[in-house]
Amino acid sequence: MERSLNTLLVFILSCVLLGALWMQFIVGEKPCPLCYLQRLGMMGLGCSLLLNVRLGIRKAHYGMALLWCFFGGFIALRHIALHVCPEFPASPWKPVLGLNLYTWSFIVFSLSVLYIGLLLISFDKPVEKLHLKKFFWWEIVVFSLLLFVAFVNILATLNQCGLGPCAD
Amino acid sequence: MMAGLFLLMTASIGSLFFGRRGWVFWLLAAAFVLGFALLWYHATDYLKIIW
Repeated sequence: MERSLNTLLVFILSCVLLGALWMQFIVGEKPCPLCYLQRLGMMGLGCSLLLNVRLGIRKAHYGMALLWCFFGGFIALRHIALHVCPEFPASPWKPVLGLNLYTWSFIVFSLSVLYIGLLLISFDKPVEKLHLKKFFWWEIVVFSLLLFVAFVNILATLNQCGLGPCAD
Repeated sequence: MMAGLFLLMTASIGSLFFGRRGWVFWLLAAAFVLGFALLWYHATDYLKIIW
């Protein structure tokens, strides 16, 4: 049950990342460096939770997931703060359901912290021995989605930024 | 540089498939540190726009 709940959150994160790719390639809204870093945060969070799925539930894996939530949430909060600043240009991206993508990103990271906290409280059991677990088919789908999104982002950043830093 | 970060992340996810916990940890740690470094780089750029 706990393993499935970890997979569910990774699936939701993968869908959010696919949505970001949709906005980039179909709608045509180019991401900024902060947007890319928030995507990285979501991938790091997903990868940390997949450690639970692949190797067994451990506090260290949840700890890593929370660190990535901090990373992504901090960057999202900075992104919000920049656009609130009067001297900063208005957000060039179209809002989704009334909120900008960086605001949604902050909501995703905050809810992920809440989700992980609830998982830790609900499944309070002795530490299990680490061993390689076999993937179920839906876990392979989720794992492949996350890997696909990570790989596409390599190509997208190479195309947009080249090997140097991305333009602001 | 940004592509390098995503490369680290992809390598981390790939290592996970093979059950290489140590690799996953170190690749994620590297991505984490470099991500903050890149944030600092861009932050100093944004400061120039505001000031």
